[in-house]
Amino acid sequence: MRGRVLHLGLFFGAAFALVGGRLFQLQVLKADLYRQLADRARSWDELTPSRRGRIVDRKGRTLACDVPSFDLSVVPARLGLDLRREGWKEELRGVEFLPELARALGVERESLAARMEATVARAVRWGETSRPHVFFRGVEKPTWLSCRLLCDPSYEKAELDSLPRRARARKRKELLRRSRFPGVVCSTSLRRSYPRGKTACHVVGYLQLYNAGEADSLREHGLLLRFAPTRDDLVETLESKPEARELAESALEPGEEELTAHLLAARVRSLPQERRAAFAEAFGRWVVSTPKVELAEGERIWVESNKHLKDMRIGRRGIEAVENESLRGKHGFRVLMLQPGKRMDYLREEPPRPGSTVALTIDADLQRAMEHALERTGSEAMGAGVALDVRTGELLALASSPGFDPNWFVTPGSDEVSRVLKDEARKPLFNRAIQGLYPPASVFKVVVAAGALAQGTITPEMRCGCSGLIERGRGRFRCEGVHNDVAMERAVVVSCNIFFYLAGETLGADALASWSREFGFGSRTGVDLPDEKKGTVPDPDWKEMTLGEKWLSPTETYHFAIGQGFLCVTPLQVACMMCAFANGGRFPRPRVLQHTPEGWRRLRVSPKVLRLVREAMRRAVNDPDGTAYRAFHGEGGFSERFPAVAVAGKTGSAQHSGRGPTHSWFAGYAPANSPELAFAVIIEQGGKGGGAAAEAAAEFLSAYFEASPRPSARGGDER
Amino acid sequence: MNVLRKHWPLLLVLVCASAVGLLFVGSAAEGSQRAAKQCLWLAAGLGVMAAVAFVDYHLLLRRAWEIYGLLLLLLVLILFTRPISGSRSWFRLGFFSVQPSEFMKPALILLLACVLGSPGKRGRPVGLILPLALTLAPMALILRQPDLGTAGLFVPLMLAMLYVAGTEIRHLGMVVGGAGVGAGMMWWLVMKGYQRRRILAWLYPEQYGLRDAWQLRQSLTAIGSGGFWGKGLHAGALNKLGLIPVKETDLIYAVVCEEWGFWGGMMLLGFLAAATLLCVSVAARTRETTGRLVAAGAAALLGSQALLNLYVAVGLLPTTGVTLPFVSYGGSSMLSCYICAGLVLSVSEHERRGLS
Repeated sequence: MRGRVLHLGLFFGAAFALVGGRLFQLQVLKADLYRQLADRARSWDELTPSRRGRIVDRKGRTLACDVPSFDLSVVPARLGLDLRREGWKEELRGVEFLPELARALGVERESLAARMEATVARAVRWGETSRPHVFFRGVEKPTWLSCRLLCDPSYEKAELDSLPRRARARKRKELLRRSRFPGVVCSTSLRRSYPRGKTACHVVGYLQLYNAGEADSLREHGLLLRFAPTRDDLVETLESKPEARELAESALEPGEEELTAHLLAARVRSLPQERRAAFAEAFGRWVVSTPKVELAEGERIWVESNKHLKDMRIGRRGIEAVENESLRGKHGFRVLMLQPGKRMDYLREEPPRPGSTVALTIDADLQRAMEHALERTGSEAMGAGVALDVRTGELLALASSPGFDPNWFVTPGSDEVSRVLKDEARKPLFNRAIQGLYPPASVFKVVVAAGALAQGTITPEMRCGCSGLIERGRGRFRCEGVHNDVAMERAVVVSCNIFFYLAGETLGADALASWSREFGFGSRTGVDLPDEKKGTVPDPDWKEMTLGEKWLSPTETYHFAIGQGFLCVTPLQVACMMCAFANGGRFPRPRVLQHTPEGWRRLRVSPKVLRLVREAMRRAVNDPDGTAYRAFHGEGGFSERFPAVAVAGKTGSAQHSGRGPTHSWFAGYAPANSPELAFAVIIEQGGKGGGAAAEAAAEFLSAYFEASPRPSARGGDER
Repeated sequence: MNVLRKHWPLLLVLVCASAVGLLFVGSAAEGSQRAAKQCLWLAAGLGVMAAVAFVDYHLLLRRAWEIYGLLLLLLVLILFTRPISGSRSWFRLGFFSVQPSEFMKPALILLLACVLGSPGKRGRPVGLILPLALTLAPMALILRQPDLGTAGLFVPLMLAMLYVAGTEIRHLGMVVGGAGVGAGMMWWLVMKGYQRRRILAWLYPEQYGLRDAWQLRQSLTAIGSGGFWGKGLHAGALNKLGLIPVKETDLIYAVVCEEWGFWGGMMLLGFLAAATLLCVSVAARTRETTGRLVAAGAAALLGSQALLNLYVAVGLLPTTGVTLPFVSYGGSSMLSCYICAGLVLSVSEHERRGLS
């Protein structure tokens, strides 16, 4: 049996020798690698966010700016939870101080716990549990100050750093004993603020964190956005680098046209390693591969991934999204290294460059007036209103109702945000002014009139009899009234359908379509806001292509001629059309940014024709039997307050597929004699155009002319 | 004095290992009183070793059942205490705590030696049942605490003693097979999610996040960055910045290797290997069966505990918490290790040659 004891000795000898060999491998052969890793383990780069630029209106009034924010952060490791176990979420809900903290902040205990849980979960996922993470933004300053007395003070460095090391530890312990909310830290940061709330919300847009999916897939799969990118970034890279374009296109799958950062990352993740590297190289400007060191096989180490995405926000809509780059400026960073027994060292530091101010052409007061006008039938009203300067193409107001308050998005996951996002029926985030598609109805008649006059298929003197009904084959086509003997001008004033059925018939469907396109329908106006819709201009070919059916003549031509049927336009397109009438045939490229250059397109319509139609529109508002007369000439109405100003415009009552009354349109320009302002207003299910929409437009125009009084009255059109 | 003359190499390596341990507990736990406490434990340990060495181990063998029973009772009682940082391993006694599972190790050595040393059913598979049951009972209780590392040490201890006792290889094979099945069952029935994840993280580091392999990564980084000469005592950046977890106990070896480099690591490794092999040589020289079993058991325990700790530190085994014998901070561990050493010395002194 002694032999067996010797076996034991041999076994232990060999086993100890194995440790020696491993030690040699680690400490002699690979010492350099591990030295680098050790340096990296005690250093990290920290982002110093830049101050985001302001967004101001045309008079320099602030619509969006960064303000100091009083926040509460949580240091997950100090909460006293065992974060390695799955059960920490239940433990978190049982944390003793939660009810007291919720009371101090004036929120529900459950919602506070939910916020904390989301933040802690994120920190755990990133392995950053010993650093503070913001979980409650924008606390009232007095509340924050009183919380500060109760919060975890161990992170108040300034106070502690001044003490010698031993004393610091003791002081920290003592402070910790006093604190009622251990693990909760008071911190400050910059917060986006929208001082005018809902005003111009669709134009200004809002900021959001990267959504979890975006951030995670980028982080996990070796691609990381350097800093907050915009779609423009991506587009620019794709355009400037053919190899990037090729790569990106090869990554798309059939049926996917739009390339988003998220989609790209998802695709890249399924690519083999060497192709992934090609991506990282091609998109180097904004995509970098994580500093994942390829270690020798069997090595059980990897390097921390970059954590820059943590609190980064990105403009989601409106100008915040379009101008994200210039508003953001450049984030700075610093590389910190911990030194034993000393204070932290900054190895490298690059200061942030603040973002630049972006000036809008929007006038905050007029914008507010437009929003107010849209809501005059009730705050539940849905609609849109656009007003632009006919001389420059600058948009003075671009409103969509219902709106939202961009401040809601400052705190992620707030109740208002989820309400806004869930409101499927009213879609508050939807910008109806550039994305809402409506039939223009009778407003379109001015295009038919101009087109028919320009093409010579009708003359101003040509008359037709309106008996309230015409029959063509089996179809019966109605008019709103019995207008007897009408010419073009009177047909616009009283909005006679019969006249325009016939005028449309003289042109034919194809000519109607081409005149619609001439007046800007069916294509984007090119406004400097994202996601503009272009609408639909139907013609026989279009119907054949999309529906595979023949154009029904004359039924569909008739519908087309009075702006119904397949024709769909946005309020902005209508306002631009009015602008072209008002300024003598120059069609604008509308803009909300002051630095976007002016752009014009001359219409193929003679000034004489435009003058005829303008006169008709003036009479539609100012003749006692004009469709919009009542809205402007009522008791204490617009014309009583501003007798010197004549308005010109055209009403519309759009039938739509839904139930309920017609959509109410009113579009035009003012003053009629020397136009300054073109506008279009639509109120969904607002009834007749001469009602809700015209009244809203009158209210808006009152606000405009109150702000800029007229010197004297001059009648008639002088152009 | 006879002991000193005869066993000065063993005593020397033990004291050297403990001295290195003392230095590095001082470095790892700077600013606390742990080094001073450790001094106290070391003194107590040397005292206990001397006491055990002078007592005839046959006296202890005669009381082996009582000692074992008492400790088993304590291990049952401990399951009713309040957990300290997640496990119920400690009895709190005023300013220090006692870990009964540590003392179970020498008690089990004595009892197994007693059982395996008696002639009887030796050589038949039935003879394996009692030693197996005696090992599994405390193991199961310790697993309930939960303390996977300490419980795991009972397996190599038992196997080594069975082997030295002359169990037939195929019977031993059955035991090993049974242990394999048991480990499989433990995986599904006993282990907690984090314990499973640690093993998976060790096997597939790329797929497991920073959270599960953090300890392993920090340990390797500390050891590797020490290089050949080390960064110098009290100059290890990772140690001093608190970036090495459980550095006074389970990962004290990482601190040694960071600050004293390859030569320091090899030196401590040498001390521990020498201590184990010297204990084995005592067993080899002992003629009396029970005495040989006691010495071999003590050697196997010290050796396998040291190896488990070192293998975890250098990343050859998944993360489990066992202390490094004679080196790590901790009173119960220190005393238990010196008791084992004392048993070896006692065997060498009080062997009854005639009986074998």
